[in-house]
Amino acid sequence: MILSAPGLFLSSLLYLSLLFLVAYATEKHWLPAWLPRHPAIYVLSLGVYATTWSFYGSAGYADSNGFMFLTVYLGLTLAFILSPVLLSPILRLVREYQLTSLADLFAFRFRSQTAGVLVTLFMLAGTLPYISLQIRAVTESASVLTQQFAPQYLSLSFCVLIVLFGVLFGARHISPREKHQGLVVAIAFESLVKLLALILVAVVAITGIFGGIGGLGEWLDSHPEALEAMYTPAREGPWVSVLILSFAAAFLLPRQFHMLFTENISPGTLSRAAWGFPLFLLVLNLAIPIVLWAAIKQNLGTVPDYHVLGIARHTGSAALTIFVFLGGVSAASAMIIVSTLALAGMTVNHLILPATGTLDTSVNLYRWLLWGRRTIIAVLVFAGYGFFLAFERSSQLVQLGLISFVAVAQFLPGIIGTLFWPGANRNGFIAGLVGGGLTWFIVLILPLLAGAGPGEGPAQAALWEIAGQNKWTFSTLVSLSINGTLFVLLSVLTGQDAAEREAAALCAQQILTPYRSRMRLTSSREFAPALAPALGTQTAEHEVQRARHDLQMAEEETNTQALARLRERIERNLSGLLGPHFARDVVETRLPIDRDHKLPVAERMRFMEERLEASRSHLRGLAAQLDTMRRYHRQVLEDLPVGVCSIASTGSITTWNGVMSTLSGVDKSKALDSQVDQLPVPWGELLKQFLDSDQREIHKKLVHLEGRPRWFGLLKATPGNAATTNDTGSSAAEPLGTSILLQDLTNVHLLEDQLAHNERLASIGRFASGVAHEIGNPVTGIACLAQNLKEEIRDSEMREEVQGILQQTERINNIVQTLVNFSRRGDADKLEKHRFDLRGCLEEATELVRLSQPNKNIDVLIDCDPQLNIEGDRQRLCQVFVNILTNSYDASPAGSSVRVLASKSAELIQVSLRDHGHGMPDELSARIFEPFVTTKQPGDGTGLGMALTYGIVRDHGGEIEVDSAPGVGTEVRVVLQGAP
Amino acid sequence: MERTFLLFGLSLLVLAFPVTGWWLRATLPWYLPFLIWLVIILLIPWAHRRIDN
Repeated sequence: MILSAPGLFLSSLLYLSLLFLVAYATEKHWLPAWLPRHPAIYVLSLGVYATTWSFYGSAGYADSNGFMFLTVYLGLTLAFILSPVLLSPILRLVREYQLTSLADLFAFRFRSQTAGVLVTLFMLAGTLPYISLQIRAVTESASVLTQQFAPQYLSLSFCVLIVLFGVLFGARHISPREKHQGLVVAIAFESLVKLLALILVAVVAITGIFGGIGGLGEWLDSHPEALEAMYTPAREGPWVSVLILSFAAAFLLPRQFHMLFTENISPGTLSRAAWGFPLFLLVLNLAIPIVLWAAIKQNLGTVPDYHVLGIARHTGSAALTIFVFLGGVSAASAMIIVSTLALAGMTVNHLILPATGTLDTSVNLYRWLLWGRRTIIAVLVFAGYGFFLAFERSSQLVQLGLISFVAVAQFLPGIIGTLFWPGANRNGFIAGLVGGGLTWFIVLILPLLAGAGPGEGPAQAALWEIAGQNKWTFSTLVSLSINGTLFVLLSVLTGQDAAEREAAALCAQQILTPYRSRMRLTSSREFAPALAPALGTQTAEHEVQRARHDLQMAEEETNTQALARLRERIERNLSGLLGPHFARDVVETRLPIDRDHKLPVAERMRFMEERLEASRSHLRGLAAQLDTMRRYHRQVLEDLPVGVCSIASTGSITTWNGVMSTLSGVDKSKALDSQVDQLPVPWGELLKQFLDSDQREIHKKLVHLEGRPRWFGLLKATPGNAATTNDTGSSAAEPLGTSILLQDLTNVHLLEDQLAHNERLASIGRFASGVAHEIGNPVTGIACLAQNLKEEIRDSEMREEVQGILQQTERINNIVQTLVNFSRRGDADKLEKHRFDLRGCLEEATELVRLSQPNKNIDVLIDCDPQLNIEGDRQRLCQVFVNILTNSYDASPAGSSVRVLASKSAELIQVSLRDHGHGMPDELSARIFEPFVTTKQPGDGTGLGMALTYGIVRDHGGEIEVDSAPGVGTEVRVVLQGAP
Repeated sequence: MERTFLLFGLSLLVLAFPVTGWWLRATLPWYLPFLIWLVIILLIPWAHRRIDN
């Protein structure tokens, strides 16, 4: 079966249009929202690793090297086994510092633009042959199917379509935070097509050519040489070298780095990919030996690299053949799109921007960067096309692929140093990369340029012979050895500057924050004008606004720590746009730090704590123990029953515990980082005054909160200087700021008042008791004498006068009796206690008062459950309510009402009697239970009613209190023990 | 983390010489390399479980 070139072109066009549709539908949210975020999409998108090398070339590689073809995937599996220690830390750095490529990562770690430039150049050199390999594979696969040389327009139009796709969906956003979901889903779709195509071919091979699994087994039994051909080269080939190469390629190839880290939406998906992606590759490769053996059995006559196509064509099914061809197109297009996209970002940030020196502030930076990347994508695709034309027939697919693998393996020492060796420096990295890169160039590229295969020049061949090694083993081990040795040697022999030390510590997670100094700018409003000369006014304003939005920061912010955070956020956002080196340069120049003024230790501690809390890193060993100790102390501070706040020497609040928030009503999030004098009234002034004063303690400070008086106690501690250790390990003595403890003493104050009041009443009681005793006896004597006199006198006029004496002595006796009742203590057992219904008692008291003042129209409203019962002396308690209601009657204007409300809570019954009379001032209501205290006019009352009431209630073990306000009314609350 | 390194070490042992000489033999089933690979893959979630938690 022979297909026509225009037919293949048309099917490629339709397929790429479908790919456009998938990406467009994702970008337009036509697909379910969960789909682009699903871990399976992430796993499939990593399938960009499987290029035409895997899709077509694996069969060819297996034909010549047997099971060696598996090493390209087994090395990757080893890298994914180490995902928690290798890939997760890189993902953390990429996300945290907005790094978009390996060049960004190295430029950030080694604080070196040269490192970024070298990595980019090396990536370009290593990837261009690989891009050309993809174009060649598509062209050759078309030739296989058309049985003639594929027309040039096929490969050229393929390149044009790839450029279009890359520009439309790959370089859609300029910010690394806005992921290219359309691109990711499209790449995942392509991986699915590749997988299905290979599975289909394998199924067809088994069923159509071998007649089933059993047939395959029988054929292998009868052709042991086929199986032996798979094992022998594997035993003798560069197995370990290719394992190392694929281990490095798994995450260092530009396309892998881009899909693994830059396009990663959620860090959690990486743990799924750790097993999901190797599983995808296993299924993909399971088809390869079957396809190879089927091709051998049928003696297809196709080039081994294209056995997959040969089997499909052999079936005679045009649909299957085109589907497999499209699988190859998928493999090629995915690789080219993602690789050029990744390289475009690196090229703009690390080659073009440094070459231009400064940005042209008159143009829109975003548009400039976007079109810069788009242009680079086009240039790279067509450079790959040019490379394909120049080296059209030089090497096997696998050979070109392995050249790229050896190239990216040169970054292995650098990445290990970045993650695990804080002592590594830029000199070592650059020297190692140059050394390893030169070896790679001489051994593998020079022969290719000379027209031989990689590593197949006469000089190189002599080298293999002397070394007794395979060319891949030799080139891998020698280049990596030179690279690693130079890296370590120069890192050990030369030092690091402060910036590099700081970046090394950040990468190795030895520190969480580098901030130690204060900014020269004093307000967030000053940021945009400061950045404008470097970025242009519009871009500067947009970046500052975006950073403020990220941090949810107010437009006007003056707090030093908040400004430091804003500066850091701007640097990170710019890093995503311009690369870390350029971003740092802009921020260092335009948003300078006053290195003479360090941030106070208290502010730094708070910032560190914030970072520690936010950090999801797993601390181990001593660090974990110290963190546990920190959390313990933090929790103790948080759980203290007193308010705690710490204030740095700059006046910035660094600690504000939960009780402090409760007492002050100022939320922790509002208080932290703000200046102490900016706190809401009255706290700002109160704390500031206390802070500035020499007092170490204020016992009771009256503060009016929400119109109510509250009493607080304040304690102040100002620790001396403390020895702190900086990032480089040197110590210094720094002031720690001031801590203030706040205690609510309102209840204590009220209790003390109550105690004093009770003591006063007790004192009056003792006095009244004495007076009653001293007066009572003479009055009794007078009464007796008057009674005798009355019996002896016959004169009616005199008898009336004596009767008057008796009446007055009776009155005195009543008063004395009241005083005795008031002063009596511990006489509760003399009460005639029994169970009675409260409502009846209240109604009786109301009726008695109404009868005593029939002309006063007061409405008494009783709200009392008839089921409420009280255990007590009914008559005396009736007296209590009569006394209170009489006062209410006297105080209330005619026509008003008195509300009596009884309620039960647990075992206690509260009776509240509220009137709307003239009320009393505080000073009078505080003394209302004292004898002879009255608001009535002389003659209208003795002032003994409430004193008597107090005595009766107290004898019943109850409590009575008065709440009164002049002009508003009075409420008397009586709390008594309820009857069961 | 210990499980991760254990699995890595074991995988390295199985996938690198001289152990590969044992299972890269024609007398064994052709799918044995894939089976070994599958076992390693299936052990990855086990090796990462505690870290993910």
